[in-house]
Amino acid sequence: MTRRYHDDLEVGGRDAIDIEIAPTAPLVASGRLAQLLRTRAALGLRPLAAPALVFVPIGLLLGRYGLGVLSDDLLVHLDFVLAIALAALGLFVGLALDLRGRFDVRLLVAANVESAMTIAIVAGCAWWLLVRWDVPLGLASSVVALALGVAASASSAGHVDSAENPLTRTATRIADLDDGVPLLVGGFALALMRHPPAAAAGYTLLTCALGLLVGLAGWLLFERAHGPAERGVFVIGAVALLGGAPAFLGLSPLLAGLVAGLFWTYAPGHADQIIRDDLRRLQHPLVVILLIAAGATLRFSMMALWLFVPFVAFRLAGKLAGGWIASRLTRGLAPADLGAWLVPPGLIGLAFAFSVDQVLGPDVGRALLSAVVLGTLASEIIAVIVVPDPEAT
Amino acid sequence: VKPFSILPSSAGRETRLLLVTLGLSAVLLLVLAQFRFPVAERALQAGPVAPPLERLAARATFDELARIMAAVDRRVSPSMLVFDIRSTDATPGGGGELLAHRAPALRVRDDMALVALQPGEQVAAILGQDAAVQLVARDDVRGLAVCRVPQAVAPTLSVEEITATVSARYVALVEASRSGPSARPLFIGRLDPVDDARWGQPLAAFGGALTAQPGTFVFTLNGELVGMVVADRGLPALVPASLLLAAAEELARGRGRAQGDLGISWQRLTPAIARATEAPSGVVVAQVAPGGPADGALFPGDVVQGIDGRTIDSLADARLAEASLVTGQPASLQVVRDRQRIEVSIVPREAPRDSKPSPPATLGLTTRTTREGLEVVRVTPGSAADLAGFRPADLITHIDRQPITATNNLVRAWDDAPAGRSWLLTVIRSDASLVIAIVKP
Repeated sequence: MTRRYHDDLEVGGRDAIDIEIAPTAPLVASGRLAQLLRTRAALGLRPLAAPALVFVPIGLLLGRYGLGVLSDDLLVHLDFVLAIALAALGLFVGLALDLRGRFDVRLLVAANVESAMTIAIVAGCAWWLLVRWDVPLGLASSVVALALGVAASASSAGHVDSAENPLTRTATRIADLDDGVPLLVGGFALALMRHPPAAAAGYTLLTCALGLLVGLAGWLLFERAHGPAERGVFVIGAVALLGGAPAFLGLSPLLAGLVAGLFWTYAPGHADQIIRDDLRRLQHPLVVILLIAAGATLRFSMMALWLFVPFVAFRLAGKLAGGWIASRLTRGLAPADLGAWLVPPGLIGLAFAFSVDQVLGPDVGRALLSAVVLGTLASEIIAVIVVPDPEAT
Repeated sequence: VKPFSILPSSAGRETRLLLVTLGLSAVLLLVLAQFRFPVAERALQAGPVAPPLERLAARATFDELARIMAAVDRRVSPSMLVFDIRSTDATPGGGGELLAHRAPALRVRDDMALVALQPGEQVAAILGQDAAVQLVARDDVRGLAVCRVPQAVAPTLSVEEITATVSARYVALVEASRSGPSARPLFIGRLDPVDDARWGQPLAAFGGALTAQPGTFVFTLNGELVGMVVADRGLPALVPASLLLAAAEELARGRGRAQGDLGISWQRLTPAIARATEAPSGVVVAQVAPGGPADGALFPGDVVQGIDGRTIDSLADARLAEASLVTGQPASLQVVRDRQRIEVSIVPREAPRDSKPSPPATLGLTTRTTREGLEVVRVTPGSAADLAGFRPADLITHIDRQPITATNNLVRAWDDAPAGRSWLLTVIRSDASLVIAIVKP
């Protein structure tokens, strides 16, 4: 079965929301900001209205700082839905790792070097600061710093129509491929929050095994369904298992989804196409719920503000440094200023922060989630300013 | 493709941007490192205008919690009984006051129930039942007892192992009310492991106040047994369910825990003795049993301040520490003798099981006659007068509302009375009048 190439370029491909919030006229008619927005629009980048910038404030408005409709008690009931959303996101990351030829392998290596570099820079700086600041975290500073690094490493090239420009297309592809290592490290970091390192490694393997088992079950079932309805039940059941089981065990639904997605991608048959087609209908409702829940969960605590600072301050340095190295590893196939393309944070970081919140609870977990939500919004705004050069090769 | 170079002179836009960003980040890192996180974290509060729907949601929360508690109550009630507990404050100076309270009991078998029972306490009855309660075995060190109760089908108990790493949660406390067991919610913010020599394994301490009475059973909101609340140095701690049920099983088989015995009679450290011995705290060795473990190692007048690392501040501490000692293993006692601190090693023996020392039949009062009444000169340790709470210098003025003028009146009344006879004596102590009951064993 052939596949349209640009369907793979963004997690889940283009959709109604992308079309609705495509670049049109800038929001501000004049001035430097307007010029920046026009430049971004000319590059095919979203000018301002990244989904996070739209839906997180809506969530904030509905949460405790606004109307109070999405109270903490109601958000608790959304935990299972969020776990499914996280698994679905992990699945999309796994499905995007469909490597076709040496070109994709080279992009994969470059992408993961970039994300590893970002994790190292953000986690290292955050760890040093957390130790110096003596923040009362209740668990090892290194683990919190690692979680911040993982959340910061996610990126989305934020394209609108990447098929028009090969460099944009490559940058977008790298943005999709750079989530594998963060999800793996994130799964380990999540296990480290509750277990010693050796046991945490075991639990990370357990998460992978869970993903593999559900992947195997889905692979056996999807193509044997007697009709679309039955197949839909299998798909929903598989995703619910991928989200629910790790979340119940305090593990990472994202990693489980990634492993299952990888399995379906490389297993014989059409399981990957089936899951992609069926999940595409759920993708954006889940993403919107995730973002609104992120806004409603936001807590302006002192700890969140102190975690937010290193997240934003060193994420940009990490992305630019990682992108600088990655662009040279691709030997000119990617834009030279790849880091600037990767500044928009996307959803995976937020999703990982939700996992941390579900594992650590209302103190440090909520502070870290709030820091990442605020950092995501700030990074989206930074992305408006740090504009890539379309001619940089 | 541009040549790979990090030299700024030949660098492209992206390299210059990277170098500037890295430089700024390094400066920012050094600047940020100068700050310190404020000690008293202040969470920013929500706006002054209360969210219009928040109160509705909050009410729904309480309704839901009440519903959950009702469900827990229904689920665990078949496993629970309520015992009437009676005790006499038999500690010297305690005054022999009759005490009564109710305690929840957990049915561990069809005909046996586990209850928290402190030394000196007895199970008098089962609330709402006429049937007698028979003690099977008790463990005074841990304060547990298993009693035989009327046969009924004991529901299968599910157990949840709770650890100190558990996150904040609600649990259900099942305690004794006037009409039976009653569940109420308790929020546990955090659990900290705490060592307790009585149990051999760490317990889980939860909070700084006794919000849950010792002896209360703790269940999850799904009705799984989490453990029992005990007091650990005045603070509540949770005995994990597995440990609790293992202890109950031993008791149900009639095998109480072996208790250590040093062969010592203890006496409270009075201010006068403290001054004389220059020991600010501890308890006094009143008597050493000849041929006992402490014979030759301890002497009357020694002040024991610690046993195996446990600080001894009261008679209860001393008795608990003594009973907790492992038979046959040397115990180290921190003692003040002749105003010198010394370390004494004693090998405890096993205390006789189920052989409660019968209260002495002697009155144990040495008095002298004064114009106002009888002044207590000496109280024999362990005597009936000692257990009743008499102290030297007490002035006895009345016996059963009759003025007392001669020692013989009291001694004759004591000798002539049958066992179980009791008297009320009016006593003046430090210019305050009080009534002390004394019972002839």
